[in-house]
Amino acid sequence: MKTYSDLQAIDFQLCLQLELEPVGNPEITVMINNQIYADTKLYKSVKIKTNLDLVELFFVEIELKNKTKLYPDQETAVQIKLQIDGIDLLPRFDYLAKYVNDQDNNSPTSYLGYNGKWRLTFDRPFYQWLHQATGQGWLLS
Amino acid sequence: MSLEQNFCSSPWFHMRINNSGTYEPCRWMTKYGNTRVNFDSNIRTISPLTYFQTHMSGVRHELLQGNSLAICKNCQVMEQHGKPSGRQRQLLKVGIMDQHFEKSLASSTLKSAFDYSNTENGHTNRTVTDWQIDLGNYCNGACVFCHPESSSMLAAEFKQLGLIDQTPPAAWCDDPELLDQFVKDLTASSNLQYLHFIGGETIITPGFKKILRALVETDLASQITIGFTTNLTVWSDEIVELLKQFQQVNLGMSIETLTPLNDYIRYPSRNDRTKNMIDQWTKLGQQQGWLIQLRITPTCLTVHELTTVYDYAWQNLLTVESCNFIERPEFFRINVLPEQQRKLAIQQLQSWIQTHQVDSTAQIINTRDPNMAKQQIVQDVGTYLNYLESAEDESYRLSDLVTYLKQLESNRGNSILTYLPQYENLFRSAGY
Repeated sequence: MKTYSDLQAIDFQLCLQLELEPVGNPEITVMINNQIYADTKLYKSVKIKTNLDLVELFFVEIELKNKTKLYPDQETAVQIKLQIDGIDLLPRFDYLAKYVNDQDNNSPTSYLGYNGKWRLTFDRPFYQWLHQATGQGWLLS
Repeated sequence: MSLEQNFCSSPWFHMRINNSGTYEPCRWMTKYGNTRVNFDSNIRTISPLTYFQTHMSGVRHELLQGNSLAICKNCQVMEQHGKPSGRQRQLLKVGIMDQHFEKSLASSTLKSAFDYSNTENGHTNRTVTDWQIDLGNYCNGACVFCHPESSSMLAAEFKQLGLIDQTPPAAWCDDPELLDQFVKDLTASSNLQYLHFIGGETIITPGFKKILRALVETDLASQITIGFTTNLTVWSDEIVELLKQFQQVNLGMSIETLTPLNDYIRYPSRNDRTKNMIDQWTKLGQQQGWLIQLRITPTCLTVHELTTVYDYAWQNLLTVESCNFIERPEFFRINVLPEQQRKLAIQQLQSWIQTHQVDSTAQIINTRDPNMAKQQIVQDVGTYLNYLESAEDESYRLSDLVTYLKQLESNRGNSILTYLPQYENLFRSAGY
């Protein structure tokens, strides 16, 4: 890229990849910006890939539901891996996610073992969010 | 021509006023003395806003074209040796990260400002949020590598020794009317966020106190960060109390070594006092949550004792930084050391790095981050190691160095050999 005009001509996208690794057969709903990407029982690991606008604000939400305590020896859970543009965000930034669950366990995690919703919110364009999350100092506007 | 290598966001939020009152686009720009006078872009002739929005259009336009500018050479050299440059720091302040250059530029907080300038030949409607304010050369120190434009004491000595005909003219801020005018412009500007002051010794420069006080009195202090560097010879309770009113303070403490050699280099410092002062400022800064840095200017005379500064920084979790690799006077450059001495310095720095292991070696651009202090220190050591290993040999300048030192010593009554006895043969061979 030689000039700023060259940059303006490119329609940049974010490449989001979400990987869900089941423990047992968890029932989950995956939502990215109010759009449901999965609403199912997991029997094997799945990868969800999608493109997002570069400066779009968005969230990734995974809900674990209908987990019962009938069979306490059989764990039911889901392990989340999240990448954007090839950058691994978990577990590095799991402390920035909110996990509201039926056990009121708010410890940072990317392992969902309780019924509830785990949500990571990108409240500013992703690369600005990354700048702040990685402690890069001032962000002048 | 490459946007990634040459683009810099600085001219969209930063400018400088030098000692003569002349505006300049950048604090890191390649320069030869800081009393350059240009009456077309001076506080006496135009407002800072006009200079910033209109006169700097050419610089912005060239950067948007991906062109390399001559004034950007300092940053290019720093990047070549792995030292975070001013360009990289200014990019980071608006969210542009080297390793994700294109996408982070396209989602920068200043994207719309870049778009506007790209269609308006570099013009901008923005105001200055980040200033470098040069306050003149009023200084109680005469560091050997300094120059008359930054030290009144050295200027007087130079004149006495016949090295200059006349001392530099008074600084713009010595004129009460100009200072009032500047303060008025500052306090009227919106979105002011960072003021970096350069002396002389800022703490004893009247303009420093006057500007701080004006910002406190106009209730702007709580939104502004102040940056300044002290030479560790003075303390002012009044300045300290003013500084406490500001949102943040970036405190720089100039030191070259924590050995008696520092007394020779930062003449007329005294090692015991310097150590007390550095502890006092560090304690205050840590109590106040200020961002503290040790500011070094490594030269061929000090590079082999640099590790004493790194040791102090490591123990106190302070970051270490220099603005650039010393360019002038040329005979103080680190690469003036002949091969044998250079190897010794390399071994010392290598050994220091080996005994100070850190988890991450990813480049740190936000060098003030105290959470990354240890990694930043190791990175800084690494840049001097890289420089020593790769910079072109300039040992032919040794005789110029010796001639200069002898001139200063004739006035100061000291001798470099008292502090560097191991260099006696080297200096004797160069005419000492």
